[in-house]
Amino acid sequence: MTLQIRGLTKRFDGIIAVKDLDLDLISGKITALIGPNGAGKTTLFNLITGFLSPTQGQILWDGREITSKPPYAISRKGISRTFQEVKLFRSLSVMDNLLIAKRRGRHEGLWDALFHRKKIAKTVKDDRLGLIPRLTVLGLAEKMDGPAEELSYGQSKLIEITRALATKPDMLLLDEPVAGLNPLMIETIKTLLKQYIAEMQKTLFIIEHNMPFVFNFADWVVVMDHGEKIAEGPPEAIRNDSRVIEAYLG
Amino acid sequence: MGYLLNILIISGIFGILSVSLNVLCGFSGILSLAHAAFFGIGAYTLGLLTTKLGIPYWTAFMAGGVFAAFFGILIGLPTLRLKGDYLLIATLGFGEIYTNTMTNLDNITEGTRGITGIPSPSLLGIRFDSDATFIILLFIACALCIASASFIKYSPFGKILFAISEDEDGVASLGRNTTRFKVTSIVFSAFWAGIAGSLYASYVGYINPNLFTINESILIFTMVLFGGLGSIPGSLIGAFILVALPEAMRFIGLPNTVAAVIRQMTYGLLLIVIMYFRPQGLLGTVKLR
Repeated sequence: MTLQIRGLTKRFDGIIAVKDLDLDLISGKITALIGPNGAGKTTLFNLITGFLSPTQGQILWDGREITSKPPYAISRKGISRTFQEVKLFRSLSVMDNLLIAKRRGRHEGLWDALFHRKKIAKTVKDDRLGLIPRLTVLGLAEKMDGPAEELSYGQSKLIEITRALATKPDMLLLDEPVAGLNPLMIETIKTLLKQYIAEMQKTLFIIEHNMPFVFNFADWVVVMDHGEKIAEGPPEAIRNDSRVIEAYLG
Repeated sequence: MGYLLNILIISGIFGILSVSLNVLCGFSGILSLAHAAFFGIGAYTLGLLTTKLGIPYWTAFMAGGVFAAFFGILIGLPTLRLKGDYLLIATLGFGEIYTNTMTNLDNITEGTRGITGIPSPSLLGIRFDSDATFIILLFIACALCIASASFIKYSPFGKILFAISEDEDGVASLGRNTTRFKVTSIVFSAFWAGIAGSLYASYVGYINPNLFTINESILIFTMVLFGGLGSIPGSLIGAFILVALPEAMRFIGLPNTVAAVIRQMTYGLLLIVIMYFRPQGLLGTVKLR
């Protein structure tokens, strides 16, 4: 499945955050989105995932238009995301955070809550058992029943990515997944994402300022500045592009 | 003894109100000052259907809950897109509209004169017309309300409500239509407020618009905050204390006019004290943001 962006523009009261942007995301590849602060990267993510509506232009997913659909509808079509500021449900347990993602809407009605409790208790138990190995690999098994707010910053980022992956997306958008993390945690996240990519032509789209991470991890790099796409290409080409060096890499 | 039973019954009715409001405020994080309006809709539905249209009691009783729930959808759909303070103001507006409508639609509601002669319930030949019998009925209603609220609290449905109160965008990004969940929680909450209204109207036998004003909404809200957002036992304790405390003050021997003012002040004072020493409420775990 491919994501195609055609002539996308977003204007906020006079400021043009994204300007006439065309972009194709290749499935099965890791695409990185780089550029200086205020270049419109997060705005582009918000447009794709429905948190903002574009002023002009189209977004096509698998050939179908998803422009301006609500965020929940876009997520259900297989496009998942994480946020720059971690959005875990802090008072819920780590396990509950993941269970919500894994359930993908099953047994979540009021009627189910009141009258199908036995049946639901069983599926919750099964889902739980399915998630324990994943948490064990991440070294978070002993924290799984504690509230998510007890996690460290790095662990929260890890769980947020795991949670997004648990929705079984076809495409995952990550907004600065390794910002402020130690090298060990970065390696853990890389491994997690590589496993995901290895399955069935999944697509990864990452905003990141950590250049060593970008150039060593991404297959394709897109550069934005002042709302416009100024370059795209394989990492080696981008590293030597004079416009990119001038605008961002310095 | 009769006096104590009376206090228990009023506490029970307010217990249903505070537990159901807690599902909305404590679980979903939707602060509402419209709860007395749903309470009143239930009371008026039962009162009008039984006295004016001669509808059988139990049909009218359930209609109280259903009608309040229906208004929950009506209010929920347009207002639940608002957040925080704006939503609070919108619910406040609804409460005011409700009170004014009941007061001024007097060819139907009898205005400030109120509705008299509301019948007591009877079932299988037992009439629940005394305090001692009515409390049995109330106990059953309370038990059902508490059970359904606790089932929700620990269900997948309830987890989504708690998640929405924490971070609505996060829930949407996981593919959930958050508006649907919020409307469902207001429907549940309004239904039980309506049932509490049905119970209240048939217990007292007389209702008027002044019983279901913004003051009562604030009182129920105080019970929830006092007991703790998200805590069901907390809401029950909050309801009992805030019903019983003013009654206890009667025995100090203050004149009635002074007592009414002091009562209002006590609510305020109680809220300040609890917010200062225990911002999450007596038994709560969720802090008000």
